[in-house]
Amino acid sequence: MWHNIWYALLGLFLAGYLALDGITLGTGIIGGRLARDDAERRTVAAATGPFFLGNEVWLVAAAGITLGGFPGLESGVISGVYPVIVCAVAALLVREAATQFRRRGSGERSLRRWDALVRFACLTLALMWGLLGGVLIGAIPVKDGHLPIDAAVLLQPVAILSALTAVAVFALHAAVFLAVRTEGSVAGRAAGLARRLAPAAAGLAALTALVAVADSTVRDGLLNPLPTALLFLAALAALLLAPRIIASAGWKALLVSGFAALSPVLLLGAAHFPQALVSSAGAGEDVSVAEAAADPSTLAVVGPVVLLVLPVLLAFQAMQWWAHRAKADDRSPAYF
Amino acid sequence: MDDVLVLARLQFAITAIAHYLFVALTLGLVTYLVVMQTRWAVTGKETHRRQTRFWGQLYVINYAMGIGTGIVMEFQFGLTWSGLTHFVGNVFGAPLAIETLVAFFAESTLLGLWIFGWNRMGRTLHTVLLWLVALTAYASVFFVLTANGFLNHPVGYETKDGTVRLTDFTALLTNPNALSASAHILAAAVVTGSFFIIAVSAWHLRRRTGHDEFFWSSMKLALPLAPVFILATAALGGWQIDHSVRQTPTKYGERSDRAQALVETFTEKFGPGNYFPPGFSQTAEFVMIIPALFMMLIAVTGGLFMIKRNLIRRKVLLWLLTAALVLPYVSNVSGWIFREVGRQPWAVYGVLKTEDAVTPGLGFGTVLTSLLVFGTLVVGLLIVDWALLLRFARRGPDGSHLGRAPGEKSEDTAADLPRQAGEPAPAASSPPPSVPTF
Repeated sequence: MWHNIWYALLGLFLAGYLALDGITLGTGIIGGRLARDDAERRTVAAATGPFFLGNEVWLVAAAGITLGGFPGLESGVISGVYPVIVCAVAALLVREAATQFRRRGSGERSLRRWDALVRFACLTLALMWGLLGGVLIGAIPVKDGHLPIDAAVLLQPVAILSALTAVAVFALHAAVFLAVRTEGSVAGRAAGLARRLAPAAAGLAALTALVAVADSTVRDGLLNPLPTALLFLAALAALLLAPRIIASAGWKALLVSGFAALSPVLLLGAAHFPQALVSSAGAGEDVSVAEAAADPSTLAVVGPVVLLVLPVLLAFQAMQWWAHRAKADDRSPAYF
Repeated sequence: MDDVLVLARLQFAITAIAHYLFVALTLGLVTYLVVMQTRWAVTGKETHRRQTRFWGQLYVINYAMGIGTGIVMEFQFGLTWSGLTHFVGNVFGAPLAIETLVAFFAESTLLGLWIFGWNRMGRTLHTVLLWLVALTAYASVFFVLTANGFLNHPVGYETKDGTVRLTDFTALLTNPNALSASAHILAAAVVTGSFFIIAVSAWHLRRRTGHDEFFWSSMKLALPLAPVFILATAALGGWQIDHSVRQTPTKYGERSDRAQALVETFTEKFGPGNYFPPGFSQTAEFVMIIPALFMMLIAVTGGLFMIKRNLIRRKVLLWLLTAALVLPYVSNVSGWIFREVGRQPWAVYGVLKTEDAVTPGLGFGTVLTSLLVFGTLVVGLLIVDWALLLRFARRGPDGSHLGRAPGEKSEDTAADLPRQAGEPAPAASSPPPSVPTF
C-alpha cells in the first residue's frame, strides 16, 4: 500500500511543480514581450517574485521523494536521460542566479543581460520538461531496470512536439496568471496574449497526441488508453477555456490553466499505472510502481513522517498565496 | 572506467565544495540574524531593524548560490551515482527525502515570505518567520549529515538480495558519527558567520565610512562570540574524531592496529586492494586545524582591544580582522576534504566501493561534458555572487535592497561610494497605505 501512497506523493509534488513553477517559467518566456517600459517590467517582476522560491522548491521536493522513495526510478531513469537532466539542472542553476542577481547590479544594461539569461534558462527548462514527458509517455528501451542513453529515444518526434507544447502551455499559463494578478495595461496585454496562445497550445498538444497514437512504440506505453484519452481531452478543454474566463472568473481561470500545466503528470500516471515505466523490450521488462519503490521497511517508516508534515508545508504555501493575493503594480515589493 | 570515476568524483567534489562555501555562511549568518531581528522585535528600535536589513541582504545574496548548487548536487545522485542509489537507496535516500520535504521545502517557502514580508507584516510574525527559517536550516544540516553519516559509518541496515534494507530508523537518526559531525559543523558555521560580520565591520571601521555606530554594534556582537565558537568547534571536532577513529580507522593512516585489522577484514570480503585514502586527506586535517589557531589568536587579540573602542584606531588589526575572513573558508573546505576523501576507497564505508557506486555504463564523454557545463557555471556564478556580496558589503547599511519600502531611495546612484562621515542616514519611509498588510 505504501508504495502507492508514495507514488501519489511524487505525483502531487511533480504536479505542484508544473502548475506553480510553470508560472515562473512562462513569465520568464513571455514577460519581456508583455512589459513595454520600466514600470511594467517592475509590475511583472512584482507579480511573480514573491512566489519564485516557493514555486521552484516543489521540484526539489519531488527529486527528494524520488531519491528516498523510488531508488528504482532514480538509478534506472535519470541516468538514461542524462543529457536532458544536465541541461535542465544547468538551466535551473542559471535561472536561480540570474533571477536573484538581476536587480542587484547597477544600470539598465546589466538588468537586460540577466533578463536575457532568465528567458533563455526558462525556455530551456520548459523544453526539457516537455521532452522528458514526451519520452516517458511511450514505451522506452528500459532493460533490467536500467535505461541506456539513446539519442534516438530522446529526440523522437513525440518528444520534440511535446517539448514545443510545454513552451506554449507554460506561456499560456503565465499569461493567465499575469492577467489575473496585475492591473491595467500589463493585465490587458496578458489576457490578449493568452487568448492568442490558446489555439496554438491546444493545436500543438493535439498534434503531439496524434503523432503519439500513430507511433506504435508510444502506443505500447498507453496501458490504460481510455482514462489517458479522457484526461487529455480535459487538459485540451482547459487550455481553450482558461483564457476565455479571465474576466469573469478571475483567479479561477488560473486554476483551469494550472490544470492544463500539471496534466502531463496525471497523463503519465494514468497511462502506465500500475507500471511506472513501460519497456519496449516486452512486458516482462516493465518497471512497476512497487518495483521502482524503495523497500517497504523504508516507505512505512518515512511515509508517516512525510504525511504528518505535509499539511504544515501546504499551509506555508497557502500563507504565501494569501499574503500576496492583492493585485501587483509597479509599487509592489519586487525584490527579485 | 577509471577515468569516468575520476571525472564523476571531480564533478561531485566541485559542486559539493561550492555548495558548502555558501551553506556555511548561510547557517552562520542566519544565527546572527535571528539575534538581530529578535532584538528589533522586542525593542522596536530602528538600529536593530537596519542591522537586520543590512546583514539580511548579504544573507539572501549568499543564499542564492546555496540553492543553485544544492540542486546540482541532488540530481547527481541519479546522474552519476546510480550505483549508490541502487544499492543503498533504501537507507541513504530516506534522510535526504525528509531533508528536502521537512526542512528545505519549508525553509525556502518561509524565506520567500520573509524576503517579501518586509513592510507588510507585523514585526512579530516577520520575526517568527526568520526563526522558522533558521530552525529548518538547522534541521537540514541534521538530515543531510544523517545521510552523509551513513556513508561514513553505516548503521541500522541489513544487506539482502543485493540491496540494503533499513532495519532500524532510530539507529540511523542517532548515528553518533552524524550527530557529532552535525554539531561540529553548526559550530563551525557560526564561526564562519562571525568572521564574515567581523571582516565587513572591520573594513568599514578602518575606512571610516561614516557608519561607526552601526558597525561597532555588529562587531560588538560577533567578535566576543568568535573565540567561544572556535573553542566549541574544536571541542566538538574532538568528540567527532573520538567516534571516527573507531568507526573509520583507515582515515587516520596505517598507524593503528585497528586500521590494520580492518584492512584484513576488507581484503577477506572484497579481495586485495589499497584500503587507505590518498595521503592528502590527512594533510587536509592539518590545513583545517592551523587556520583555527590563527582565528583564535586574531579574535582574542581583537577582543582585548575592544575596551573603550580602542580597536577602531588600530588600523593594522582591523585590516587583519578583514583578511582573516579567508581562514574559516580554508578550514571548512579542508574539513570536508578530510572527512570525504578520508572515507575512500569507500562510498559507503566497508559496504560499497566508490568505483561500484558510479552509474554503470556511463560514457567518458558524457561525464566530461556535464563536468565542463556544471564546473564552468558553478565557478562563474560563484565569482559573480561573491562580487555582489562585496559590493553590497561595501555599500553599507543604506544600500540594502532587502526590505526597501516602495519609493524609498537606495544608494544605487551614489554607486558604491562610502558615505561622508556625519551625513545623516535617510530615514526609511513608511509603507504607503495602499499596500495591504498581512
